[in-house]
Amino acid sequence: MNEGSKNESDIIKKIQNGDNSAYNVMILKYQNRIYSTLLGFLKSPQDAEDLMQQAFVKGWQNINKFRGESSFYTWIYRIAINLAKNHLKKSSVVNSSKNISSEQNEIEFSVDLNPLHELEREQLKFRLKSFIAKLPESLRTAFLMREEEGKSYEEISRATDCPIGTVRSRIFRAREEILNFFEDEIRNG
Amino acid sequence: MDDINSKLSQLYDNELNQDQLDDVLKNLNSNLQLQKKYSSYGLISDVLSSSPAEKVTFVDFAKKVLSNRLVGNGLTAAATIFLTVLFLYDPEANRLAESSEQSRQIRDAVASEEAAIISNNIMQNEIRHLISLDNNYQPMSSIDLSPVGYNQIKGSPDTFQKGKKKVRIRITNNQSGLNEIRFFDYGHTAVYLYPLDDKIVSVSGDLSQDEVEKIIKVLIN
Repeated sequence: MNEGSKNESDIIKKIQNGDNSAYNVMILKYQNRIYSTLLGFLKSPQDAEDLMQQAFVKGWQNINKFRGESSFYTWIYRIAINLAKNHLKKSSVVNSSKNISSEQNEIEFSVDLNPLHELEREQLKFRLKSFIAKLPESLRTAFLMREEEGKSYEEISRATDCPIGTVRSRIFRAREEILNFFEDEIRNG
Repeated sequence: MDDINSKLSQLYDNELNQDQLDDVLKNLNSNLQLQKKYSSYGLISDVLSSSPAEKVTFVDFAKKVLSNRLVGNGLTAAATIFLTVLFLYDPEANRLAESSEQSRQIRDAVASEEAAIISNNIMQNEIRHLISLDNNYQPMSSIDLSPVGYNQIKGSPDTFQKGKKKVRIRITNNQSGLNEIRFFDYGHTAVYLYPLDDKIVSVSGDLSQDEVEKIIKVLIN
């Protein structure tokens, strides 16, 4: 995913200039990724949800410290991880099987998971990928180049020899189809 | 509608120009369905990018995110943040400073029953109002709260003081259609939203409802 390009820089500037409603956009975009990171680490859905919210509050408080040297996601991720580390220290449940390195932006998990939940997630991912594989080739290619390879619309346009407007439209149409499928899967799941 | 949805997809991909960005942000912040969709884009990316090694389980959360409660999730965080920064955060303090008291207030706000209520009931109007408060409030220079013992603090036009007690007041246009008094309690700080004709008076501080109503009466007169 392209995490640090022009829109986000503009949004960050808006927040730093006092437009707090712009921060809502960042929460909506990244809350799920931060939540699943925290959940993998903390195991508790309630703790993960609480710390996810705390991370975003702390991010807002310190937004003027954000200089754009990393992506916003990396920055808020580090805040979340630090909160999680402090939380675990306080809860005295740190064990040697967890190894966090916020500097390297990597986490190694060794978490006792509910096998059923793990299976559900893997199955969901499999079904999602199977659905994407059945999309028309032009939509699938544009979407995956954007989503998995993080290419810009311009790069996709050059690679597929299509106008940028066509790339934009294809990615949007793919996303609409995937979203409909995904919602049905989750609801019926 | 397709146009705004298409632009939402471009926003997610960081492909909007400055003019388009302003328009989309305005739409996004006033439309719960768009917020839900934008959050779901993130959810799909998260599922697709996960590797078996991560072994993260979040299907239940995904179900919540895609239900109405899920819409509330993003809004809970947003509403909590706005309540915190608008009313609990001391405007006279360095923005980057963080005291233990502020941390406590934030923790309380995040964990508060009110946040859960906001989430569960999806009180759209109040949230829209809270989000709009920060940019749209009117200067308070003409307001005199001396009849109830409060004096305006120099350099902080929306803050009034009576002894050690501080109260923050903002008056905004009632664009959200709020038609009844709302009350949020965060330990030592309460936030009241009072609709008055085409305005909303937002009052916060360590105040009882009686005290707030006395202030409102002064404002009306």
